[in-house]
Parts: sequence; C-alpha cells; structure tokens
Amino acid sequence: MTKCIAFHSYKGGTGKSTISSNLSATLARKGLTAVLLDLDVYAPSLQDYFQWQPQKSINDYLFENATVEEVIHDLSPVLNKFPSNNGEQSDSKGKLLVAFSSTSKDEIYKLDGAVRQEGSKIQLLRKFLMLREEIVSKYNADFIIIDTSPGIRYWSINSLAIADTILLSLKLDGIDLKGTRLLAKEIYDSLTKLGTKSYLLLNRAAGYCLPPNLSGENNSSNQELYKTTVDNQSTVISKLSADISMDTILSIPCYCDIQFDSNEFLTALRYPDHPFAGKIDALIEQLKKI
Amino acid sequence: MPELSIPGLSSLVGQAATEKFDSGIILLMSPPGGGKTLYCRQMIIESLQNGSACIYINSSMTRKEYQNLFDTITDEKIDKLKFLNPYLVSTSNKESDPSTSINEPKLSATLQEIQNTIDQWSSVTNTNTETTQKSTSSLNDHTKYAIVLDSLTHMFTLFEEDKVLKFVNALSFLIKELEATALITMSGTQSSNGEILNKLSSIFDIVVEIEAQEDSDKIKRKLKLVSIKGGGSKSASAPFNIEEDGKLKFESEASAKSKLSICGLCKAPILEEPEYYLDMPFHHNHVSIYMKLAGAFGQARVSDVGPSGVIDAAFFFVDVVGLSDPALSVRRQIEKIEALNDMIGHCDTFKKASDKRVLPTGDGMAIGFMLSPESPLQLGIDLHQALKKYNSHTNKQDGSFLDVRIGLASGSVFIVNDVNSNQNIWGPGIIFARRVMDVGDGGHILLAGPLAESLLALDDKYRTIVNLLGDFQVKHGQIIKIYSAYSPNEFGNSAIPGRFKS
Repeated sequence: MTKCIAFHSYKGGTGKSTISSNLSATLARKGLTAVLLDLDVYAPSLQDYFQWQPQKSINDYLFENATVEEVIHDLSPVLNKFPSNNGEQSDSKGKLLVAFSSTSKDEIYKLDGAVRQEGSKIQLLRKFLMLREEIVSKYNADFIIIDTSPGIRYWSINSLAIADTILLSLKLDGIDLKGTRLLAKEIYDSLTKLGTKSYLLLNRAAGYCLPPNLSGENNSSNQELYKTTVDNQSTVISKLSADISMDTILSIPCYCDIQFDSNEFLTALRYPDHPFAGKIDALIEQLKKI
Repeated sequence: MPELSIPGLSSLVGQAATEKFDSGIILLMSPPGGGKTLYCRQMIIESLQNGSACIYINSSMTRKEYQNLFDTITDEKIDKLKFLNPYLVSTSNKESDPSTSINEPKLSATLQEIQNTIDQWSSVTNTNTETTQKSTSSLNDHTKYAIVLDSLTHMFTLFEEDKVLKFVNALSFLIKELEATALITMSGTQSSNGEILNKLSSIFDIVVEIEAQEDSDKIKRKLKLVSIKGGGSKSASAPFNIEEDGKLKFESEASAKSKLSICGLCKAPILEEPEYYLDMPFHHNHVSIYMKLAGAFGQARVSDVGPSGVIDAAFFFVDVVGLSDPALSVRRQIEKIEALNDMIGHCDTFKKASDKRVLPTGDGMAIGFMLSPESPLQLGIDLHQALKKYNSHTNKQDGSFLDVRIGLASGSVFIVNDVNSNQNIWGPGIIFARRVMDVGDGGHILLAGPLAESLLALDDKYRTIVNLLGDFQVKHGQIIKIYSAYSPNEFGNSAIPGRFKS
C-alpha cells in the first residue's frame, strides 16, 4: 500500500525540499520505491538537487502535453554515485522516481492563470488526482513524497488533501510559530478530522554545536545563554505541540556544516555517517510506524 | 440463504454493501405520514417472499388492522408471520422476566412470546429436517428472521421510557443471537429524537430517515441514510413513491444505473458504484479528498464547478471534404475515412489525451476533450501536418487527395448511454463545433469565439495563429463569432471561407 507524505510549511526555507529529497533518496537506497513530486510549483528547486533537466514536467502532465511515464524520471542511477556507510552500493531493488515542476516562467504563469479560471481549474484538479492514481497503479510505489509550496496556496492544499500524512516543517522563529498555528487551525483541522495524520518536523533546531564565538570560552553568562536557548526551544515546541494537537515527529538540528556546503544537496547519501543521515533514517523509522 | 429485504438499502449504500449486511438492526425515523408503517409492511412482505420468517410488533394496531394490512399475503406465507401487540399481549401466569430486568409484565411477556415463536418455528424446522419433509412453506436450518418493531415512539406513550429501553436492549441481544435483521421505527427526525438516539446509538447498525415534502398536490418522499456503523454519515438518499396498493417503489437499480453519475469532485463519469456525500455522487476514492478540500477551501469553492451530469469540454469536429461526391468510388471513400481515422489515431495529442470521447460521424468524427481546451487546436495542427505527408503521395485528379475541414468549439455536453450501453457525449458544445466546421472549406481550422478567446487569453503563442474572421449567422439564426487558425505552409487555410464571403 502506497503511503503518500506531503511536506508543508507556513514559510519558505524550512527545509522541505532538502528533507524530502534526502528522504526519497534514502528510501530508495533502502530498497523501496519512492516517487518524489515537486509540487512547489511557484519556486521549484528539485532540478538542482538532482542536477537533472527534465524534458517533461508535471505542468506538461496537468495540461495533457505529457503522459505520466514522460514526467516520472527514474533517477535511481544517481544513488550509485554515493557510497553507503558500509561501502556497499545501494539496494538494487530500490527506485528513486522524480517528477519535476517546470522552472519556466511562462509555464508557471500559465499554471497560475489556469487555476484562476473555474473551467480549467477543475480540469487541472482532475488531472492532478489522476497523477496520484496513475503513480499508485503503474509504479507500485511504497512512498509518494510531495514537496509542496509553503503557505496556503492552491496546489499546496490539493497536495495536502491527497496525502495520508503531512509533515509540517518549521523553524522556531516567531513568524513561523504563528503561521504554524494558523495552518493548524485553518487548514489541518479539516484534514485530520478526515483521517490525515499530521506531525511537526522541527528543523534547524539549536543544540548541534556550540556557536564558534562561545566554544572554548569560559564565559559563564554566554554558556548560560546557550543553555537557556536550548531549554526554551524545548518548552516552545512542547507548548505548540500541545496547543495544536500535533506531535513532533523529529527534530533536526541546525547543521552548520550542511548550510555552508554549496551545491551539496543529497547530504544523507554523500555523508552517510553525518548525523543528518541518522536523522533521515530516524524519520523513515517513524514513517514506517504510521 | 434467503436474501435480506431492506427496501431501498441498496440505493443508499450500494449493492455490494447491502450484500455484506446480512444481519443487524436498522432504525427508521419518519415524520407522520412519511410512510413508515408501509415501509415495515414492504420489508415484511419482501422478507416472507425471500423465505424469511417475520415477527411484527406494533403497539398501536389491532389484529383486525394487522389482517387488513397484510391481506394480500397468501396463507402459506402468513404462517411465517407473527403479529404481536405488546399492549394487548396476554400476561396471565407470566411474571416479569427477572433475567431481563424489564420489570414490565407486558413487555416481558412480549419478549417471551417472541422467544416462544422462534422456538416453535425452530421445532418445525427440526421436525421437517428429521422427516425430510419437503414443503415450500417449511423452515430450514438457514432460515433468516426479520423482526419489525413499529413504533418505538408509540411504545413510549404506553410504557415508561426506561422499561422500553430495557426491552429494546433485551430484544437486541435476541436479534444478535438469531443473526436476524430488525427494523425499529420512530416518529420524528434525527434532531427531535436526539436524546433517545444517544441512549440507543450502540444498538443500531444503520440509521435511516424518511423525508417527506409536499410538492404541489403530491408528497415527495425519500429515504435518507443518516449513519452506518463503521462508515460514518454518508447522506445518501433514495427517492420513492407509495403506489395505490401501498407498495413502496424505489428508483430501481436499473434506472439508477442508467442515470449518468458524474463525480462531484473531478466531474468525470463514474463507471463503478458511486459513493454519495451531500447527495452528490463521487468516485469511491474521491469522497474523502472532496471533504478535505471542502474543509480547507470552503464547500462552495469545491462544488460550484458545473452542475452534476453536465461536463464542460472542448471539441474537435472533422469531416472529409467531398466524400459524398458521386464521382468518388465507394472504395475510395472507405480509403479516405480509414486514412483519416488512422492519422488521427497516430497524432500525439490524441494519444496523450487520457480523458476524451470519440464519436464517429460517418464522414469524419467528433472528439471531446474533457481536460484541456488546447487539445482540439493542437490535434487540428497535428492532423494537418500528417495530411501534408499523406497528400504528398496523392493527387486531386484521381480523387485520392484527402481534404478535411475542422471545427472547434467548447461548451457543455451531457454524457449519454448509446444503444450499445457505451457512454457518449451530446449537447450544445458538440453541436456548436459542427456548426463552425460547416462554415469552412477544405483546409480550414475554424474556432468558435469562446474557445478561441480562452486560448488567446491562455497563451501568447495563439495570437500569431488564431485570427478573427467575424460574426457569422449559422442555423436557426444563431450568430457566432468565428476565428480561423492557420500558419502559412504549416497548417490551416488563410483564405476566407466561401460561405463567409457570401
């Protein structure tokens, strides 16, 4: 049975694309079939993650200019570029299949314009539903992972509606916290009432390392500040989780070594011993239990 | 095993779900005059006809009234129907059954009578089995029991509520033990019976209610599904009439199937058994998505797209020019039609369109594209390019040159079943495309105004190829704006159509 998981957030930059890409690739490496859909239609970025220029995009599928086979790209060979943590190649049974959104300005305008017209909007929605159904029936996928646009957008809501599980990624800044509460109340309530599971996924949390200006110092007030920050974070996320009745599925620290490594997106594969890879493994274990 | 007889149930939950429901308790609520006694009668008559044995409990009915109600039942069948009026039941030598804690002699006696009746029928069953006596009226090991209690509301007027509830509770255990089907009725609606429903909710497997509305001089009735155990509220409904002989006539399965069902979410035809929500049919897997979207976007924004049963689509209409020319041999005519069919079948746009309807028209075809308004024009362009290659091997002198005219339009159509039970489309959208095509000459790709204008708004690329010809009066005095799509030496015909000039 295919599990459909959507990554969503209130704000951009919370790590949806990074985590969904690494999750999909790691699932495939473990011998599962993962279909990753880039539905961040206004700011697609997965082409960069996989260094892939697709001939046909999800936009083409929605407008009937391509079949599902033409928009689903088998990127399983990408997995073999990276060694696993025991030096072996990935499980050959695993498949990493990716469908990209178009990065063309005209295509983005076209899709945006079409959803403003009721006639074409319902046709696109119908085609969108068919995309999920075709993936389930033709690819025998274990997981469909959807990378959505942040906020309350047409395609985000549609993506959330077809998902079984939603992972709401957030950073612990004030705006994101406020927005997350808004999403929970305005959108998620109606989905979870009908069986969708939703979880908080805390990204870029404090606690991975001491900031460089504090390391080696014996300044007790700075040390205290750091400790307070980490403790506060725990209190804030617990309160949020209780207020909106959503458990936290995972907390991923702010890995400064990932942040500054340019063009290095599939970190979980590139550095299988990195704690980030461990977090992705932990996420997979959690998802298997749902 | 005898079939269950629950009038209208299959219309509410589908045949498959009805077949799975082989025992359980149904609550029927109805306003006065809704027809609940006749519903009970119908369930009993159908159950008897299907080989079940029935017990009818009615606290407001005399034996005479009961006999009148069932006067059409043959003696053979009436043997398997037991009537009980709890108010009139004899309580002589009977104490309240302490095991049930009912503490009401008449209700306790009624329960005992039900048990005795079942025992008596069972003993007949055993005797029949032992003697291998064959009789259509005899019961057997597989006999199903139907128990009808009409009505709970009236029972409350005769007995204390607490005692009635205990009676119903005890009855429900008996029904479970017998794996019987039971119907219990109440007057009123879900909201007016809220308190009692809460107390008894765990007993009922299915709750339905009759809605009756006066419409001019007739009462329009429908049976509505309130809830089904394990399935939540579905809000499906099945209209029915009460005929002169008291029979309830539900919209038959056949007529329900022949009716077009269009999914309330994706607006595509539903080929399987539809699932209902808010009286709208859905593909099975689209109900929860619709409900989620309705919650997120708001009901109106999801449901206001096109009335049920009607589809908005874009149409491509093509015919072969001069096919009926008597100078053209039949063999040549067939060649041309086959060539046209073959070319269209190989066009990318045709192959990729997953939701389309094709209607052969003899000298051409009409194709409805359900999803993209761009598809008809793109197919016209694809076809002209294919024709160019094809005609490079033909000549006009021997009649082998294949010339077509194409009309494109958008609009509403109904999906209708043809004589072969295939789903086809018909309606203003397709007729419009035909009218537009008729204006053109060979090589023309003409578009009706609304379709052309939506394409021009959609993408700038159409501005160079879609050109306004002007207004044209078609059949029945209808004036339509016509555009012509062409690109010199590639597709279309830049000349003004002859009919347009005239």
